[in-house]
Order: sequence, then C-alpha cells, then structure tokens
Amino acid sequence: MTDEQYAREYGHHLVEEVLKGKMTRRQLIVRASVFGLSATVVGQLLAACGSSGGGGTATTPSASASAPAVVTGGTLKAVIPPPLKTLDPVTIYDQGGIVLVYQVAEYLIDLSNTNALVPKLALTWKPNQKGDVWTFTLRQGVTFNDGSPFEAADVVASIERVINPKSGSGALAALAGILSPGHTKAVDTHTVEFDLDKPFADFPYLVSSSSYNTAILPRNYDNDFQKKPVGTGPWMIKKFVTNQSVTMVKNPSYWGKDAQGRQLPYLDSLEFVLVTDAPPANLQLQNHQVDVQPQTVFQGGASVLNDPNLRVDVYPSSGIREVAFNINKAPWQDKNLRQAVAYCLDRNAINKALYGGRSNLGYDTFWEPTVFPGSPTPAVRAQDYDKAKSLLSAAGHANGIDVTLTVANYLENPAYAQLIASQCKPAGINVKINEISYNAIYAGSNSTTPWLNAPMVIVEWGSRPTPGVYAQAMLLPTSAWSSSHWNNPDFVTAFNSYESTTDESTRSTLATKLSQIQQDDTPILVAFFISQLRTQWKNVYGIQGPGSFYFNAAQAYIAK
Amino acid sequence: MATTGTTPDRGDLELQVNAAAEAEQRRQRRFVVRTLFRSPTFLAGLVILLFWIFMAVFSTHVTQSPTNTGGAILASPSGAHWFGTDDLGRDVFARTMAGAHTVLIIAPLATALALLWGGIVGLIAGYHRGLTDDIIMRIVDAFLALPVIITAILIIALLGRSYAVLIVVIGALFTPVVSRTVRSAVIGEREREYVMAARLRGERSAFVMAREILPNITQPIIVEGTVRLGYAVFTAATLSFLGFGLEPPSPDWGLVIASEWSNLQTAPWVVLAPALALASMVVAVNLVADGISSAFSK
Amino acid sequence: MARFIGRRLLLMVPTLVLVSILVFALSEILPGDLGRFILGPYASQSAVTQLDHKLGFDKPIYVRYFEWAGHFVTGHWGTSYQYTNLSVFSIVEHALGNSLLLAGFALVIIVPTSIAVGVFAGLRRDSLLDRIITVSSLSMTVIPEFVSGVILIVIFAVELNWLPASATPPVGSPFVDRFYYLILPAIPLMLLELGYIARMARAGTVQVLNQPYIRTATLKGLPQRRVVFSHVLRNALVPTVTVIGSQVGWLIGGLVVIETVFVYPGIGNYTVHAALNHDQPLLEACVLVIAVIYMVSNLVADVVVALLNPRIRKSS
Repeated sequence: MTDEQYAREYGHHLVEEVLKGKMTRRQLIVRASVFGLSATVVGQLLAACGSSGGGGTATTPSASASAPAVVTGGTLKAVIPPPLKTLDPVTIYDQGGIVLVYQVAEYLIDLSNTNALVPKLALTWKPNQKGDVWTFTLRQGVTFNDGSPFEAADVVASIERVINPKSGSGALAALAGILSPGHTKAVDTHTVEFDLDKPFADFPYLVSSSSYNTAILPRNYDNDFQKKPVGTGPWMIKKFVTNQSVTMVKNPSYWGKDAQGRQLPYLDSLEFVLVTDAPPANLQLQNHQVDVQPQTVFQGGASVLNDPNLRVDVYPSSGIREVAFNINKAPWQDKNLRQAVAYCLDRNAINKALYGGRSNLGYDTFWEPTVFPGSPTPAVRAQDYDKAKSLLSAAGHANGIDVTLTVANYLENPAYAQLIASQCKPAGINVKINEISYNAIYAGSNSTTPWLNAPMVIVEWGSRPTPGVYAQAMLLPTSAWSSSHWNNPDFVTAFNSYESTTDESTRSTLATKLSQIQQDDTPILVAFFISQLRTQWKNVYGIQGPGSFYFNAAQAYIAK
Repeated sequence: MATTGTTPDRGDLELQVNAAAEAEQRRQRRFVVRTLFRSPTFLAGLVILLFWIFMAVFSTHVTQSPTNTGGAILASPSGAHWFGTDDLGRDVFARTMAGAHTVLIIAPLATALALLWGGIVGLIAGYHRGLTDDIIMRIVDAFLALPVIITAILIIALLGRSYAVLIVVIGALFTPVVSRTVRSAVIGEREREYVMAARLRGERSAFVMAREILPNITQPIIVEGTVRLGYAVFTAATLSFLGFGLEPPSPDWGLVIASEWSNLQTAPWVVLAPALALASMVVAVNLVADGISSAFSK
Repeated sequence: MARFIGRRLLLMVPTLVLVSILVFALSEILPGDLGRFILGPYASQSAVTQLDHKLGFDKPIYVRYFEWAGHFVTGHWGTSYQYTNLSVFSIVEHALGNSLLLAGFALVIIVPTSIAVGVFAGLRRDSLLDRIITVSSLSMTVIPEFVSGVILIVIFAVELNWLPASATPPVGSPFVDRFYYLILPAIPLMLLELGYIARMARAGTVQVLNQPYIRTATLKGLPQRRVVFSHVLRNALVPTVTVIGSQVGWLIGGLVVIETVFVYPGIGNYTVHAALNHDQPLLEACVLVIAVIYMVSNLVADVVVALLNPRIRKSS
C-alpha cells in the first residue's frame, strides 16, 4: 500500500470512528494532523463527518454496563435557569422551578428514561372495567421531611388543591373534563380512588411527574413552599439565595434504596447555580465551575457539545415547536392551504439547522414511533414544491399568497420561523414574520392573547408522555390550549373511544385512525420532536430522567 | 420688525458690521477644515467611516447574499467564505458588511433628533432663565437621573423593536444631555451686545433665539453632536446585545454578537467579525469627533 | 458651602418624585399582566383575574401610585411581586451591595491610574508618548463592554483557565475570594473609564499648563515637581472629578451588560428583570436608588471641585 493509499484508509477510519460516536471531530483533527494529513484533506474528512454529527461522545443514557463503581458522598453542582418567581409546586411552569421542586417533593408516578411509568409514591394503579374509576395503592412507610407520615389524605389534598379553580394551577386545564373537584377520595390510609368524569386510559400520566403541578405535599400545605419546602423527596433545601444558588442536602429519612439495598441518595449534597442565559451557563460548565447542565440548548451550544471533557446524553423527547394554523381565521380554513405549507418544509434541513440533526423528524401527527414507541408509523412528508403548488391552486391561491407568522423571541423559535419563511417562498407563499417578546405573546386574556389567537403562530411545548395527553391538551374543541381551534368530529369520536379502553389492539387500530386524521387535516405542523441534551463532565454518572426538566439525582455520583 | 427712527447711517454701520462678521466666520471655517485635514487621526477615522458608509449603501452589490442559508454550518474561513459561515449557513463577511446599514441609520438619526429636541429645550431654558429655566431644568434632571439603558428597555418592550422606535428612544434619552450643553452655551451668549441690541430693537424672543443666538453656538452643538454620535452607536449596539434592538434576521452587529457569542470557541470568526466591525466604527466616529472638537478649540 | 449642599439636596426631591411617576407610568402600560406572569400561561383566565383582584391590580393607577408612594416614604418598601418571600429592601440591599463592590473595585484601581496616565500625557503634550496614550485609551473606551467582556471570558476563563467565568464565588467562600472572581468583570469597566478619565485629566493638565502663573512659577525657579503637584494636579482634577461623579452614577445603572455576561446579581440586572416582569415595587425602589446615587455622586463631585478651587466656590 502506498503512503497515499494508507493516508486515505486512515482518513476513512477516523471518519468512521467519529460517525460511530467514538471520537470527537476535535480528536479527528488532532490525530489527522499528527499523522501528517494536509489541512485540505482534514477539511474533507470533517465534511464527510457531516456538519456536526458525532460531535461529543453521545451515549445512551442507560449505559450502566460500562459505568464505574458507585462512590458515595460529595457534592454535585448543576446549572439551571433561576425560578421565575417564588417556588410553589402548585403554580410552577418554568424549568428552574420544576427542577428544584422535583428534588424535594415527589409524585405518585415517575417517568423512566424511556417515558415508561415507574411507581414512586403509588405502587399500583388499576382502572375499573369501564375505565372511569382508577384505584391507586400507595407506598408504605414514607414520611415527609418534617417527620409527618405520608398517607392517602395527603394525596387527596394535593390533587384537589391543583384542580381547584382558585389555585390558578396549570394542572386544572390538563385535568379539565377528566377529573372534577370532589371526586378524589381516600379509601383507607394507603389507597386512593379517582372517579373520572369520563374513561381516560392515559390517566396515570396525568398524575405523574410529567404533570409537574401534581407534586404530593402535606395535607395542611399553605402555599409556603419557599419558606417550608416539605416533601417526601431525597433532598432538602438548606440554603436558597435568590437568583444565585440553591444548596440542598440529602434527606436522612428518605425511603428510597437502590437495587442492592443501599440508602439513597449517594451524594451528600446538590448545589444548583442559577443562570438565566445559556452562553454564561455553558461557560461555567466548560470551566468546571459546575459538573452538569441538565438541559443544553443546541443553539449556541456547539462548543459545549464538542468539548472533549464533557459527555452529552441525548434523549429522544416529545417536546415540539407547534406551528398552529388558526382554522377560524383566514386564510387557514382551507385544509389544502395548510397541507401546502406542510409540503414546503424540508424537515431534514430544519432538523440539521436547528438541532444539528439530533432531533427526530415529525410528520404533523403526534403518533410517532421514534418518540412514542408502539405508535403507528405515519406517512413521510418530504419537501414537494409541485404538490405544494397544486394544493395552493386547489385552495384558490394559484398566484401566491401573503401570510403572517407570529413568533416569540425565545430560543430557536425565531430561527425556525426564518427557515419556514425561506422554504415557503419558492411555492409562492410569502410568510411575513411578526416577532414579539416572550411576555407579549402570552399577554392578554384567553380571547386576545397571541399564542391562542394569531392566524399562524409558533408555540413551544415541553415534552408530554403520550400522544393522548398531547391531543387532550390541544387538539380537541374542548382543549384549553388549542391554538388551532381544531374541531374535527371524526377525530373527537375516535379519540374518546381511544381513551376509554385499555385494550392494546383496539387502541392500536384507533391510533392509526387518529394519526391519519391529524395528518390529513393538518391543523398544526409538527416537523420535529426535540431531543433533550444533558451535558456533564465525564466523571459524573447516574443521573436519571428522560431529559431536561427531569433531573433525578438520587443515584448520581462522581466517579474517581 | 424694524422700529421707526432708524437713521440711515446706523443701518449702514450695521450692515458693515454684519459683513465683516460673516467674512470672519468664513475664514474661521476654512481654517478649521484645513486643520482637520492635517490631522492623521481625523483622517484615519474619516476613511474608516467612509468605508462603512459605502458598505451601508452598496454592500449587497459588492458581496454575496447575506441571507442565503445554503452554506455549511459554522464553516471556517475559506476562499468561498472569507469569514466563514454562521450557524444557519449564511456568509459572515456579507452579513457583517450588511450590518453597517442598521447602525448608520439609527445612530445619526437618533443624534439628529437629540440635537433638535435638546437644542430647542436648551435654547428656551438658557434664554429665559428664571422660573422657566428652573422648571425645565428640574424636568431635564429627572430624565437625566433615569438609567439610560433600563429606561430604553422599558420603552422598547412597550413599543416594540423597530427602526423608528429605536431612533426615537435613543434620541429622546440623549435630549437631556444635549439640552444641558446648549443651555450653558446660550447662557454664555445671551449677555453679548448683539443679543441686547436685538432685544432693544424689539425682536421677539423666538427670533432672537433662532436667528441671533443659534448661529453663534453652532460650534459647541456640532462638537456635542459628534460626541453623541459615538454614544448613539454604543447605545444601539448595547441594546441590540441585550435583546432590545432590531429583530432577527437583521444583520445588526450587536444582535449577531448576542446570538453567537457562545460559539466563540469553536467558531470565533462569527463573533469576531461583527465585534471588530463595531469597534472600528465606534473608534472611527470618535476619532472624527475628537478631530472636529480640537480643530474648533484651536 | 452648607447652603450650597442644602439647596442641592432640596432640589433632589422634586426630581425624584418626577422620576417615580415616570417609572410607574411606564411600567403600567407595558404589555403583559402581572397576574398572568405569576400564574403562567397555562393557568385559567378566571384564576388570573381573581389574583389580580386579590393583589389590587385592578385599582386605578393613581390610587395605586399614591398607596405605593405613601408606603415608600415611610420606609415600607413592600414585597417583591416576583419573589413574594423577599422584601424589596432586602433585594435592593443585596443587589446594590454587589454592584457597589464591583464598581468600587474597578474605580479604586482605575481612577488613580487614569489620572496619572492623563496628567503624564498632558505634561508631555504632543509627544509621541502622548499621542499613543491618547489614541489607545480612546480606542479602549469606545469598545462596548459586551465585546470586551466576551473576548476576555473566552481567552482568560475558558482557553487559559486563569480566571473564573462567572463573577460570584460559591456560597460559603470567604469574602476575600469575591475580589478574585471580580477581576474579569472589572476589566471592561476599567477600560471604559480609563480613556474617559485620562482624557479629562489630560485636558485639565493642558489647560493649566497654559496659564501664565504656571510659567511664572517655573521661571521663578520652582522645581517642576512642586509646580506639578501643588498647582497642576489640583486644577487638572477639576474637570476630572466632575466626570468621575457623573460616571459613578452611570456605572451603577449601566452595569447591566457586565452583569448579564458575567452572571452577577447586581442592581442593573434586577432592575431590567423587574421592569420586564411588572414587579413594580422592586422596579421603583431600584430606579430611585440608582437615581439617588447618581445625584449624590454628582453633588459630591461638585463639592470636591469647589474645595479644590476656591474661585468656583465663591461664584456658586
């Protein structure tokens, strides 16, 4: 083999290593130049690796087989955005607040790394025949961190509190039409019965940690969580310096033990450094002033994601950037026009530009198997300008049309809007971008606020555990948070049947039907499901949770 | 309004005095211009400024498209892309050149507004003195005591992010400072003979202020204007960085730096290009301002 | 002198009242609803309306203003709307302390340095050294703090790892550690002020050197050192001190950018967030405190100037 051939082989080998995730691009550059490959060749090799594929050592979150032995003790430092206001589990809605509450208080059910239901404060949950009464049995021997015992009465009080209209909790809308006040009762000290308004197969998800306002608090809780953070969780707040940091120590009477029976949590304390903007947070991580960043935003995170000292865990997650067409407002009443926009999108290019290709593609339906395993596979929608143009004529706009897209100045939303606009242009759809502040898009009453009333609007959604929960939240005419105001009787009927049975094969058939209806009618665009990125120093192990808002550090440890 | 009883001799004399004064002014101006063009720092600043003015007008004809998202993402500088590409695949050099446009619209117009409003307020306060002056200056002080950036943010959050809002806000926030300078200049002038002569003639206050005093205080106004211009560029860039300038996809330099600064490690050119452009623009404006003010003071 | 100070202090009052009215009015008309902010976008409209009523937000603006003003002047600054567990006073105290520490640290280093540099340049007027100093300090001044801040972080914190990337040490560290963490954030401030103050000092020096009495003193045979220190310095400081006075006030409020880039919980940062989140009690308190500092520092500067130059004292 000549030197040249050898160099070529070596180059291919390096590219393969990068694509497999075993090497970072930076390491490729170093190895290649050590080997003597010219800059031009190195450039070609990098191009062959794709724009950012393989950057960082991405591992699956549950790579416990190769993890080193558990080390107990020590402090783990994490950087999160500060809670927007005083901490109160009943009304939190931001990442900072949710992460902090999750350490101290617990939920009936938790979510595994793959979004499966995991018993937490509830051990079992069963529906009756009809599916409208659910019975939960509770874990025994659990106490709150102030010593009081955890019992069914606490569960009843906590759930009743969040669905009480006076509390102003976001959970009210999530459970509206499913669970009404006065229908939750304690059967005995460790059994709770939920009497639903209608059968709902996905009910357990609605009282899980994904429904973050349903944290279980003592029955006499008085809206003073910030002052008296009482919960059943593994951590207790020791010091809270507003907008600066939160120090937590382990709860010595925590009920949790690991598979070997060791007491949890492994660590002695957690320290959360509170930083609003991503760039300084990224720098603190790189500088090792913190050990882990629970959610790394892709935009501007390239240096963190490619840092050889850090390990990036990628979680396929169901968070989306909904592009809603308000079907009550011109010109979106015609589904041909909505579909036309859908066929203008180059979803691959969008994924690449916004997330470096890390997210999963969506095809305008919530039933997506890569994110919700078990879902039917939807039809792929690729960019097709011929189809888009013919749909446009069918809608009566053969000569093009001007539309407005409202978007908040928040994370990657403006960039997404620009990509939509540039991809719609060749078809003759001129998208004018109306960018407003994050406060402004949520301002006003329900009948005036932009996020629920603009003709075409981008709305960010944190992950939901099932397609059913998503549909309940925004695709039904009764949904509180429907930006599209979609009202499709076929969908509603099928959905009610879907949620009123727990029989797998019936649900599967109905899921296929629901997915097809949603895709065909295109009330909203779902071009991608955003993968969550958690970045940590390489000696940090054991953090659980399906990404971003879930920061379960009970089994976290820092290896030697 | 001419009074009666003006003798022809007196009128003649006035004309002669006026003519002499005008000739002197012309001589002074020529002197100033000559001094300016002899100062290397002024010339350097002027050249840089002219370069950016040229770019502000003609950049799209001279560079490739700044909005094309087709290129590779965060590519290093190369023959095809002199300053590489940004995180949406756009050519950084083209975007940086196009960014001059926003600054060169906002800053001069805001400064002009500030000079206009500040000039009017300063003239009125300085000329009238007494109670009017006291009241006006208390109000001016109140606005001066407001933290500039924070007030600007509040107003922009209210009115939205657009060229018009930014120009008006920055102009309004600079008005108090300008009015102070104008006021002290007017106070210096109002005791002069020509002012008293005009008032004895019975001229109206507005006339005296506009036609008599104003032409004689152009020098400090120009100096103040050039200094304010530098601050206007600075303030506009800072507001953009904090997220209260123009909206994306504007290639405004402050905005680009704010969205790209965490890429500084892996792709430094994306941040350094607009940062250096901004720095050079502000330095140029200040060199020109400095040159003008020292030429006037010679 | 006492009358001078007294009069200025008295004049501050109507100005402050006007400032408080302006800020109240502005924050009132901002888009967004405080009840909605507290409960978030997913809460029901009726809950939001109820909360608004409970907290008194549906009362007319002038009623709310006078209620607030009445409490404020009697020392009851209220509780923050965002952080309902914290009093406005404690937040402002904490934030102001942070900002003063940062600004103070920067000024203590840079003021003597700038004055020395400026006087030095003025004494060697039009020499090459003077030109270099003038142009380079001018250039450093005009670079926006976010540009220099960002570049400093990447070079010194990330690449070289000599200094930390944030401005606050971990909780529980000794007080002295704070200065180590403040080094990087203070540098952009120092660069900003260096050019400005040095320029003023230089201009003052040049102006004094042109005075006949200085030449007389030199001709009389007084050593240059004595001349410089007893006459030049004192008079060069006049414009310099004035400028420093106004800069202190500007710095306190204008630290927003540094506080953002270096994540420092100072008063600039708090004020911006209070403004955007409709936290009226906190916003009013912050703005008024900044305004008072601005006016007081101007006053102190004017007093120092009057002490330095008896002629000015007599004419005011």
